[in-house]
Amino acid sequence: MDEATIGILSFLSLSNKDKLGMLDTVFSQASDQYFTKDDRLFLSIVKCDKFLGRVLHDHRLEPEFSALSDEDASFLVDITALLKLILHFKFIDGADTVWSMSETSISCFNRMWKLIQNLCIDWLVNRSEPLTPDIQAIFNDAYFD
Amino acid sequence: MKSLQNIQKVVSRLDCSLVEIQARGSSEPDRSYLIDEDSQTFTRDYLQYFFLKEEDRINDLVPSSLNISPDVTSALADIRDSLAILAEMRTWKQSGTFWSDELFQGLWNCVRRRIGFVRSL
Repeated sequence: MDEATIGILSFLSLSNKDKLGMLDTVFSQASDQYFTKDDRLFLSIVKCDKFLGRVLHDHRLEPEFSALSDEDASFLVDITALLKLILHFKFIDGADTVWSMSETSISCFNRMWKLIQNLCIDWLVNRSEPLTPDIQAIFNDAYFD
Repeated sequence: MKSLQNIQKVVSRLDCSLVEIQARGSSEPDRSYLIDEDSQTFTRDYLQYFFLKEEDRINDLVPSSLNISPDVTSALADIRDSLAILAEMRTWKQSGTFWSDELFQGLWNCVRRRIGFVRSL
């Protein structure tokens, strides 16, 4: 698995609070005028979904050149499905932000969020390859391109 | 007080049921009490019933007073919550508002991953 993908999984494994803190540091000041933290959180989830979708697309097209093992790919397919599901809980209500979602959708959103977080932590902890210090920098480049 | 071994037995049984359901999904039309005659797949009502029943069963294992590690409690909560959402997704299909096999399958696989985590301890 390439480092950018591991970076995405690292991001997904952060707590909600940490994610928001990180987003504060990477989004430009100009964005702050237009997006609340919740908007940015959703934007980040959409970007994660698209990034992982692209990784899996490349893997399917050219598996011989892919950095993904079959096991990695299977995991990413499931995580991508959960990201789509988590986004669904926002859109099903036609909500602008997480806080304007229905109580049921917020509950489902939070449950799925926790599930993604735990799966990613478990995945990262059990990897044979250690995480490198520069993953975060690579992740930022890949994630906000 | 539930021991880790007891918890593992419960989640192992759940995993076996999930495997059985998945395997039977379209291949055993003789199980008519569970099978929709037209589509030859498991009926929505049966699956909803199954998910909700198992959600209750797992919920009984979750209480914070249990003398087990937070990792296990967290995994049990994930399994319980995912079962509830799988049941909810059956409702979406029923109402025709939203359904995707890809999402259902993804969540299904993730439940099994969390079960695998508990079983591996």
